[in-house]
Amino acid sequence: MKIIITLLFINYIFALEGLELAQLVDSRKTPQDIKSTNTMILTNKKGKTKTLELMSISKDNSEKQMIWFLKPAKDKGISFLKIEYEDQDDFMTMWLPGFSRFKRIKSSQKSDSFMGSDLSFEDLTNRTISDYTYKIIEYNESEKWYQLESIPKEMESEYSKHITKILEIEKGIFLAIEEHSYDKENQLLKTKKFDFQNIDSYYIMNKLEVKNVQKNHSTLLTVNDISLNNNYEDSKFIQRSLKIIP
Amino acid sequence: MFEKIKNILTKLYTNYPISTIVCSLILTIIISSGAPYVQQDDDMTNLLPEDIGSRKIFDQIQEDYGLTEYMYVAIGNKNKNILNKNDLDIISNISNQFEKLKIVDEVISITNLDKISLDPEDSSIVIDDIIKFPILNQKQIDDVITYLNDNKVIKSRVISQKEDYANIIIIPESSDDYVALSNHIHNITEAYNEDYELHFGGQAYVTGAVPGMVKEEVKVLLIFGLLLMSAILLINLRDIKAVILILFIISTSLTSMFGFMGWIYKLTGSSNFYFTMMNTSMPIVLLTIANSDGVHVVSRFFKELRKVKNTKIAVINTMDSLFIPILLTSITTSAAFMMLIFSPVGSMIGYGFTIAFGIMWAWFVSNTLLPALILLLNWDINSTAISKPSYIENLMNKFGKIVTKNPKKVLYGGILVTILSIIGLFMITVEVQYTKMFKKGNIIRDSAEFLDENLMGNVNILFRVTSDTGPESLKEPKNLQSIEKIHTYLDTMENVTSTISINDVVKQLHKTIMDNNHDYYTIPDSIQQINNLFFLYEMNDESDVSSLINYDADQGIITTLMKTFSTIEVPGLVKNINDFIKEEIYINNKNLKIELTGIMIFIVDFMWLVIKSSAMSIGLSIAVILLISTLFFKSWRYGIMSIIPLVCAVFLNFGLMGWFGIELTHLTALLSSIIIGVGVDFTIHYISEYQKIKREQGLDNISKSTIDNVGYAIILDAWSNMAFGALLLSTIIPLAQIGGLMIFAMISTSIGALTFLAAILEIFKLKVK
Repeated sequence: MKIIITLLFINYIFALEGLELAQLVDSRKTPQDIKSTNTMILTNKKGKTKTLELMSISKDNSEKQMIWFLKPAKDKGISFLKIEYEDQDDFMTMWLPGFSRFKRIKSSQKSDSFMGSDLSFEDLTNRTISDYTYKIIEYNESEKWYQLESIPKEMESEYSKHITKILEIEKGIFLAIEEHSYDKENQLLKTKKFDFQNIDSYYIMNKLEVKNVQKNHSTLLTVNDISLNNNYEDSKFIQRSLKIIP
Repeated sequence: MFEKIKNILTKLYTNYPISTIVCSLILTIIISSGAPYVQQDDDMTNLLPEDIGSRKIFDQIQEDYGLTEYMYVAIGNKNKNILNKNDLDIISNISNQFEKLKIVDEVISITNLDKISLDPEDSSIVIDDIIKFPILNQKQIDDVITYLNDNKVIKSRVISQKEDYANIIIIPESSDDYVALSNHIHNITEAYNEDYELHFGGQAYVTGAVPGMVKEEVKVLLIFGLLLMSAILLINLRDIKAVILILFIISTSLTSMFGFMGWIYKLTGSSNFYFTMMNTSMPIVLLTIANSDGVHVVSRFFKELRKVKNTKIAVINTMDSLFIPILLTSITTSAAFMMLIFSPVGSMIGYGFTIAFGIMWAWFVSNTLLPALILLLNWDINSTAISKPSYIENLMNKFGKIVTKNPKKVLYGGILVTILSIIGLFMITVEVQYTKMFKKGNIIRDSAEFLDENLMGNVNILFRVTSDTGPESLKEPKNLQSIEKIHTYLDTMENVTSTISINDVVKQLHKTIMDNNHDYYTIPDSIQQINNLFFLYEMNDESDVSSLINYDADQGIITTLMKTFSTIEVPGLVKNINDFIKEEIYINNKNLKIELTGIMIFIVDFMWLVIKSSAMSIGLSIAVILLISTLFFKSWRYGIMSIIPLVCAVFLNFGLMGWFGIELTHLTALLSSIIIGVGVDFTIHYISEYQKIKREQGLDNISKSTIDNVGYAIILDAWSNMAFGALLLSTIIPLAQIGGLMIFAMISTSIGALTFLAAILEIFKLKVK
């Protein structure tokens, strides 16, 4: 009887904490804006690599973001703008200097690869808490980590679920450090590992490893030269800004 | 030493016949038990040595870009438009079933083709399925028709010109799966046979379907040949027990040979001992040789029994006369086959070893099992079979008289025939056109002709284009323009139906991004534009250019799809292409390296390799036979005598091919093995008997007596082997040709021994000691 009560109690706690945990992760203190230079190393199944260098400026926890390609030289000048909206489709566009044209990216193309990497446009977008149902499937009290399962409700997604390992790094500060994402057939599609750096009491992701296990292709993103709170105006996040590398 | 072995064996089968039988059978069973380990390998590309240039490039291309050999399934009905909901649903259904197979890498058809288009709402480039299923309205189909008419190159790959057939292209996961995949394809499409015409083709399909087809035909015709052989033996020997004994010796040799092959593969793991398409002729070769041993022993036994009227003495006399010739023929034939170890084709090394073992095992059972069984069986001395000579024996008696009386005429006649056949050698053509390998009505030939006429053809040539200026350099406009020149040149060629390269993607994207303006179906002039196009394309989840350009983008492949053509055209074609590349590409672009390969190219390489190695093995075999015969007969003159009929028979057979327009291919070239294998038997039996008579009776009437004694066995052996002329009934033309040539080989080698050799020995009998 005692065991049954304990199990019911644990289930009760987990059912409550799933959503709460997601909210706690989401509510982590973030800077107003971030500027950084990123290196992205793409490795294919034969072990061949490609290195890209890009500059990123983001604001409001990456709800607004601009990315410029710096290297390789062949892709220099290509740039990307994303603005997330709660009540409408996100706006995503790309500047192609060779053709002097902007190319819109539709929300239906969110599963497309971001610059040939293992990250899709969906991966780059913040998850709206209410779009998912949550469940804690494991909790390690001594190491203070959780396994949180997130299942998309009715939103369009390339995934059927994510299982995220969340670490309570400090009292009340929760960081996603590892994630397994499953495709629509419920097969493991991607694994992600996140590293964070504490800058001015903000936990900023400085390394991301993504592996597409189905394609056996991986991406290592390293975030360098991080500068926070540069007071970028919202008006900076417009198509025209993409044409010139800051 | 040989005398000692002979005495030991004689003691064994005369004193302990049952133990001899049991021991021989146990040994045969042990060896034969290796047969299940025989590993089949149907991939023809594996037959070519890995260090041959065209194979090396081909293998690297398969490794870097995936398989380039496809299977095609054409479905539809003549003059009935296929672009309607019902037919498209069925094509989609079949394509999906193919796609679900684990051994399929990709399926391309009208129903799952990628469409690169511009979204009118926001001008974004979309790569999406050309049709969404289920089809809800006619507009969807109309859109597809519009898109295809707008993109004729893409259309030509999936739909016939009259829009009455759809082409489903299947890219296998691995070349090891061709056989299984061709079977799966037949199983899946079987359900649609009644409502649609179905055609199957492509190099992968042929590679997958042909070995099974050849094996099946060989199996059926071999059984038919065996039955015919049994009938011929029965008519001549007139004793069922004798025929069963010969067949028993043949089957023990055959199972032991396959057992040996299996054991060697199991123990060494060597791919040389795979059972490939080249090994299909192995059973026929061994059957003829094992038959020879059995026929000689049984017919000689009958002759002796007629004389001495005592089974035991007749057996001892028979084996006393035949021990040396059978041993010698077995050693020389095995040694001749062992010469294949110098072949650059791995499977021919295994072929040589395995056959050599089979021959020696046939010798072993012919000297142990066979005499012991003869001893244990009851023979009716008064039966017609034993008491009266057969028709052939009587014929040989007359034949012997003719040769003895007119040796010079016989010799000159033989020389004349040989000279005529040598002229035929200059008319021989070396050619493989795989559709012509099958008679009309055969599924492969009919389908191939259909695909050639209505769709993209069946074969391809690959070009590997490498830029030496580092990563990403192939995308430079200069290099893509060079590729475009090759495209244009190839498209003007008669047999070319379509050319595929990275340029197709670049041009399509360029047109799409420039608002679908056809004027922009070109290679952009600026590297930045090209890079932007690639960038856009690679962003799309459906995009995949890995089969066209490598990861570093410094190398790519051009695939030229072609109608079936003969290998005879390949050298000219390759020369023209290379001249074009030299004069039009290299002169303006020194940074590109363009290499040709593809199944068609290395079928030619492979064929020449087999022919050269067959020619080399003929030379080596004859040299080895000369050496062994010289040692055995202790006379170089007899050594030369033993090879003269062989050389003439080889000339006769290949000359005949020239005269009758039978192409020399990797299959017909192997016939030389049979000619030498069987021919050497006849000459050695003849010379051995000649020497024996010379020792025992002197030179008086020697040729007549020799022909009288061995002529019957030689003719019966040859005649019964001619039963494999049943191969003439094959729908696979090279097999039928082998059947026809086999008959001629038997006639030429047996008559050669009994006329040419007999006449020479008769003329020079006083000089040859």
